[in-house]
Amino acid sequence: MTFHDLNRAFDEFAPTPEQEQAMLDRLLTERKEGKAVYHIKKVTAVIAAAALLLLACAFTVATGLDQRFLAYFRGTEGDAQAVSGGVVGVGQSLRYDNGWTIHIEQVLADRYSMAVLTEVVAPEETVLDGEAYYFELGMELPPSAQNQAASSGWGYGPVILEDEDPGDNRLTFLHTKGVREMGAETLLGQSVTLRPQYLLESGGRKISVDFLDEEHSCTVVLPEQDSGRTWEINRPIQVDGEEWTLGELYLSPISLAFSLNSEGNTPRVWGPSEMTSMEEEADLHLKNGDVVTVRRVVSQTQDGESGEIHSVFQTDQIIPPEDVTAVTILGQTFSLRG
Amino acid sequence: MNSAHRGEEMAALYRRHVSMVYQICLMLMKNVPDAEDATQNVFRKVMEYDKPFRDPEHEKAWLIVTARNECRDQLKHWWRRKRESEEALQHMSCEQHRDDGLKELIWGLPEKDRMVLYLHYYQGYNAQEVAELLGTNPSTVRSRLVRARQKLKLRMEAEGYDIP
Repeated sequence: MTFHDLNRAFDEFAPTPEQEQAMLDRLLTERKEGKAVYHIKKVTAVIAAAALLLLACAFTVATGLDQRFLAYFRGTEGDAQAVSGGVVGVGQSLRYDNGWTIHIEQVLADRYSMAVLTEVVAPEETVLDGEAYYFELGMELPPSAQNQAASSGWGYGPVILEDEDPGDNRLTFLHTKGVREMGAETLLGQSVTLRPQYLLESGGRKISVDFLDEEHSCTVVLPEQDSGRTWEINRPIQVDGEEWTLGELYLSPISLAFSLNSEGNTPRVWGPSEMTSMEEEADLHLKNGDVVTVRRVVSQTQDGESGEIHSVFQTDQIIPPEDVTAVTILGQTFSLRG
Repeated sequence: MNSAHRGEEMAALYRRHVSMVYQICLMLMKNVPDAEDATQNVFRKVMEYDKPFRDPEHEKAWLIVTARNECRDQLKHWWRRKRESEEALQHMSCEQHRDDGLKELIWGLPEKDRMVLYLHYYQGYNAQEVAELLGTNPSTVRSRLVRARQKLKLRMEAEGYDIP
């Protein structure tokens, strides 16, 4: 795909000259008439200031949580304790004949999602200083654990963590995965096989490395312990003008997950484009009055048989579930008290 | 722009940026009436803005951020609206011509993907600038760009567009 293809696509969004003129006329007429400007009430996302991470060591002392995870979730040493039950130190290096090495550093998991920290090291002469890279890491459960009906949906790819030295041959990635993407009901106690697949670079020299040429992988056992809490909400929720049911809601210190059901709606009613609109819609209301918007979508999936939607978000800060008093989804607030 | 600004100044600013603001609004709102309303609201906000813009780049950046925020606010209400009937949707898709197909492909991407692609490839902002506009970090923008471009490419290929 070329710039021309992309520009051609975006050109289609431009207004016609007639539309431009009509909107301007309306605007200037309203101005003359002194019409009141429509103000929309905003929910202010109160995000705690990012903690200064002054520790020089790579792991928190008490929990073993990698500092890069802690920085990603903008946590303090104290916050790390809340997620300590979900930490799996891996520390495995997969070395390839082509000179590349993938370090699988650590996994952080809860009941419904997991995050994997990896470091990609290119051969010495290769500098990873391009504009954008995509590293695909396979995360699979054994077939015996894949007990959920087929589902469709989408999840986000990896995030490149801040590159301290853009002139070197290293990049650190954080991959996330939702439980339903992996075909299971829970990730607690599961064995997950991590297998690097490929690395692509956009533009420039276009690095393209296929890691599947060699059979390297590692298997990690996720913790049995659940750092989260589950609420059976079972209350109506308006979705696109129709009544659905908000079923189970789950909160861990790093994630929010919930299910939506509707008897009257078959799976085809929901399409990926509608589901994407949900990514701006979750807010956590805290005991101290703060409202934290949850923006990181891990996955949105829909059960192929029942039509149930399962959404998993990751928070961008560590929040103990007991500090959350209510959750707003699609503009509707559900109390978690009692 | 403060209230003292004359209609001509407003019209000039509007003509400089309406195409961009409308493109962002249509990309995010996914339908023409809502995109037009959102565009109007953005320019109403410019009329109310009581500080001067530092320079043309500041003016443009302010409009991008305001357009995105406006659409986000509107989308909070979008779910409550009546959806088109299944029959109407099928009818629309039968009549869909090639240009609408391209729009549909962009609309099928997550909102953040649409924004980074548009700002980087169409408006020419680099990853650092896109990150500042969207309130995220440059490395996130870079990975999102690769991902979004790849997703769009696959979708365009699947729909039969000739992609080199």
